[in-house]
Amino acid sequence: MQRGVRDTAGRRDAGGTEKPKGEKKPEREREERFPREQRSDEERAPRSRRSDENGTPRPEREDASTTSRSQRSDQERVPRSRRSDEDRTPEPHEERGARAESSDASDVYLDIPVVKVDEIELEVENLSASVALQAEVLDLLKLNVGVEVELGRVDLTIKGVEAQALLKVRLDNVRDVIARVLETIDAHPEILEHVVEGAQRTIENVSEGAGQAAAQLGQGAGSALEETAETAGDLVEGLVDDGDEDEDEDEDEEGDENEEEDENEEEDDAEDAEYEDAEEEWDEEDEDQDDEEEER
Amino acid sequence: MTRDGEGPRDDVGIDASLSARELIFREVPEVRTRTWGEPDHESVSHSERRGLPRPVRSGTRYTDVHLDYRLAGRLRLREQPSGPPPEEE
Repeated sequence: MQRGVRDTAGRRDAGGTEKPKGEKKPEREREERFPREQRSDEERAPRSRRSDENGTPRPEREDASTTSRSQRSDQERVPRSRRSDEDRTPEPHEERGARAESSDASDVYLDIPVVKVDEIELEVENLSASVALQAEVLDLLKLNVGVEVELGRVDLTIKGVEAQALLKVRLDNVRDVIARVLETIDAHPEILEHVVEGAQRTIENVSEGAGQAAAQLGQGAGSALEETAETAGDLVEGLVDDGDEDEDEDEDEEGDENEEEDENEEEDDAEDAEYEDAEEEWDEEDEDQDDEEEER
Repeated sequence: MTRDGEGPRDDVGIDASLSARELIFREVPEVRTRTWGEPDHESVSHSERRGLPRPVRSGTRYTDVHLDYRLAGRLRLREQPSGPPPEEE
């Protein structure tokens, strides 16, 4: 595949064949882009790769400033799909040129190569593919661009399928913009002073605000502590006063209870005395009656 | 599928192609596309269809179908004269 990139780049530069937008592609070109029965298994796997301007392939990686994601459906999402083994025969290198042409100028290139399937019964929801690019230089430059295609719900049967997808990112424009920014900074380094001053002002504002907040927090905490202490003191004093009053009341109550007991005892004693007196009287009366009977 | 080098060079793009001997939609799919960019951007979408009407109908059997689709976006930047920013008052 990497060799194909170089081959294609050379062909593109030499031929310079650019097709107007919207024009139907000749069958030969489609055949080159969808070479039948000439794809190796290695090329069927999606991959991301970078290439230099001179065509020297780089190790596979995605640029840190670029995000790309895709959700594959075909083989991965469809349990009832069948792939034809006869379509997996390797392809000669010269036949890969046209397909690799798409990657020659792309810095990030996620390739979902030709997928050939006999039949798919596809039923998925929220199938989406998106690719985006983001770049920032301090507060001087913020770039962001992206595209997304989304299918809400897909329920279909498809036979004799050949499909492919490409997600591409070019960093040329962003690189040029960043280069211009850096050149401008190089020519006018005072720009950075403004940036630094702005950052310092931001930091000062933040620290000042934090200091004021901390001071207010301290004041608030101090006031709260003072009030809490006063409240606690009042409560303690109140508790102490209440405690003394309670003790006096308890003593009074005990005295009252003793007096009541004494009164009750006195009453009992009085009743006992009356009863004894009555008994004595009864005994005397009995003795008197006995004496009268004896006299009789 | 469109080729690199057509018109302005796009910063990001999605290309997809599909050919099929037979295609039947049990439900008509809902397709949504979205593009975004900061500070400004422009986008282009392009499709070529063969054997596939627009819109498609559910339950209809389409044969010898081919579809090329492309969605791309690029930053649109305002050219600004180089120089230091104006002095703040």
